[in-house]
Amino acid sequence: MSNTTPRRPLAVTAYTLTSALGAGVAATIEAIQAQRGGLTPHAVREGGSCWTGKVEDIDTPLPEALRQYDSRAARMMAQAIAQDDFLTAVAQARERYGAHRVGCFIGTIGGGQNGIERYYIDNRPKTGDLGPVGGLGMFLQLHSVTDYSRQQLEIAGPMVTVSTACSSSAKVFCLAQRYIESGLCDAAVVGGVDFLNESFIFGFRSLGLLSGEPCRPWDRRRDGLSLGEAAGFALLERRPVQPNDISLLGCGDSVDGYHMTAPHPDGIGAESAMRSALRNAGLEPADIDYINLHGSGTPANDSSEDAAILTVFGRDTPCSATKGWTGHTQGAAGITEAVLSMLSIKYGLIPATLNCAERDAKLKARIVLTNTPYPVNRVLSNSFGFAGNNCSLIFGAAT
Amino acid sequence: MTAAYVEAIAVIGPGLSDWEEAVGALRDPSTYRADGVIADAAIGVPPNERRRTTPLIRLTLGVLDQLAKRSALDLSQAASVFATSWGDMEVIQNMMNALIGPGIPVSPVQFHNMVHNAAAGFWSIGTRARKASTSLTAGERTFAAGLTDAVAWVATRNETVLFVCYDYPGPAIFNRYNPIDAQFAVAMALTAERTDRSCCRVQIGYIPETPESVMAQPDLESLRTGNPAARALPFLAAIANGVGDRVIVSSAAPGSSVAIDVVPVS
Repeated sequence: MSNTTPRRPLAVTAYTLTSALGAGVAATIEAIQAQRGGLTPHAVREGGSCWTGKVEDIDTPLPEALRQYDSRAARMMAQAIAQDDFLTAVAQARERYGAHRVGCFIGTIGGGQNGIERYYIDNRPKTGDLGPVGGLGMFLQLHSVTDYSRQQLEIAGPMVTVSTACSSSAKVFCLAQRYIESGLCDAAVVGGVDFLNESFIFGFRSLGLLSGEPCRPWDRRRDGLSLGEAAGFALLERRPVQPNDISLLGCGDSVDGYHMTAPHPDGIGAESAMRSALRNAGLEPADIDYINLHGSGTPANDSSEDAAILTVFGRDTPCSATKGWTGHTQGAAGITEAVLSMLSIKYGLIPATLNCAERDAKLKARIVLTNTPYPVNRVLSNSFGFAGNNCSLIFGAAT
Repeated sequence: MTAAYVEAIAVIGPGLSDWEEAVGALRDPSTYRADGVIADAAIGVPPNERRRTTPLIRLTLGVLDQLAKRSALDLSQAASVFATSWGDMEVIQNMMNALIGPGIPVSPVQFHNMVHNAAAGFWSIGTRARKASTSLTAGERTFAAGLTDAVAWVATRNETVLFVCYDYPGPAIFNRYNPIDAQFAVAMALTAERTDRSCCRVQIGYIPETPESVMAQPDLESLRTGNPAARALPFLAAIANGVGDRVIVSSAAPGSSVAIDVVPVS
């Protein structure tokens, strides 16, 4: 087996998303069709404001048995797991393969660490005391979100928390592919979660990358990103593809080896990830109908990604950036945009590059500015993160 | 088959300043001394970059520098798996303090070091590596998860993978939540095909839950249980002793353990 041998597609037998666009895929596509973006104004503590994609109505604490995992992250995950018949699909997979043959791969940057952040901000502790063991202290461990997911889903296969910055929950699809291909499991739940937090707001502000406006990917005046939060999951199975299935056709990943926070100006890492995903899927650039861009809306990111798209795809493949709808959901961006990509196949719709009023003439990719009905059979989704960590996923309709 | 060949190994831990010293201690545990100062490694990091690093990042770069010297391969051409259970607790603590400080003095360096893949970033930037790199955790079971992922990559992509697993004691105020007794890092170069430097073949499989392999020597056993990365010790002992062995490490998957079969090739 060589690295150029295309992989067998994996059926995506269920998927779900909670984001600023709503709870569940029906609410998500409805918001897109109604052109109702999820960004709202957000007052920043100690001055200024930005726009964020906030998830509403997640105030219900977790049930007693899982109370130790209770954080904003876990509440969003609880909501996502409960919708879109996701639990039923996982139960069927459990029955088909056995709980220990269903893996669980979750991508996150902060896990439950918002609990700690809130505690510091509210209590200004001098000692750093996070209370009794088993309390807030458990949120220091990122893996607690994966542990929560597998308990809630009653699965017991291989389990990993992936944390590669903003590509985290795209990378989980790569892990699922290699674990299933290696025979380490037969099915895998992949997912991602991250919540709005001040570390990111002030961190991106310190880098000059946080916009005071709703983010405007590919716009001439774009000046940074808007943060969002989300939780999403997908179930991948090794089984023959059936009509109406959507499949994971390929994944590719790379690093820039260039800078901790800035992308390589020529997009060499992005180019390599996209080419690797195409090879992995056994596809040519012309086989891709739509590209869901990373499109964070920072001047450097969009220009670097544009360069990479031109090199690999040229100017003809329709592209759009969806972070104007959801905000940049950080470690959950991969799963968020994987779900939006699958919805673009299912509904034959390329979502608008929201807030892009005047396309930057220096960017040459074929950017789609308004919601556009389009037969999307294969979509490539990009997610790039700090330390130059890049991941591209390709999803396809059954053919 | 989820298997790979080990081309080179490097270790840093208390009383284990490099793989040579580790081989001695693992072959004859009566010689092991846990004391001794571990040099703050920052090999290969230019001074201006060094200022941006933390002890955890320097530990990781240090063990990778050792690995590069022991390996005949160009590791900048390898894919990589960076496994750390807790990541950089010092950075978390500094970030929390910045959030409650006057003027909220969050700095760019502090921010980018917060990501779990910060060490991987410094390494790839330093070596101009561009192949895929995964940073992961599986809590206390991170060593088994990281090795499994690295071997699965080798087996499915037929490529060389650099695997490194590391954890570093956090600030004292977090100690009751994540007690890490001592720093420990292990790195290895894994290949799909046997090379003339391969010391063994490793094969990974999930089996029903089985008690973990332990270290008979009490200080080594304390090290093993006192740092999630040091769960590697029984596996390293099997390699150092050059005998075929099955090593059991506990897995994040409930009801399962990871069995690592070590098959010497020389």
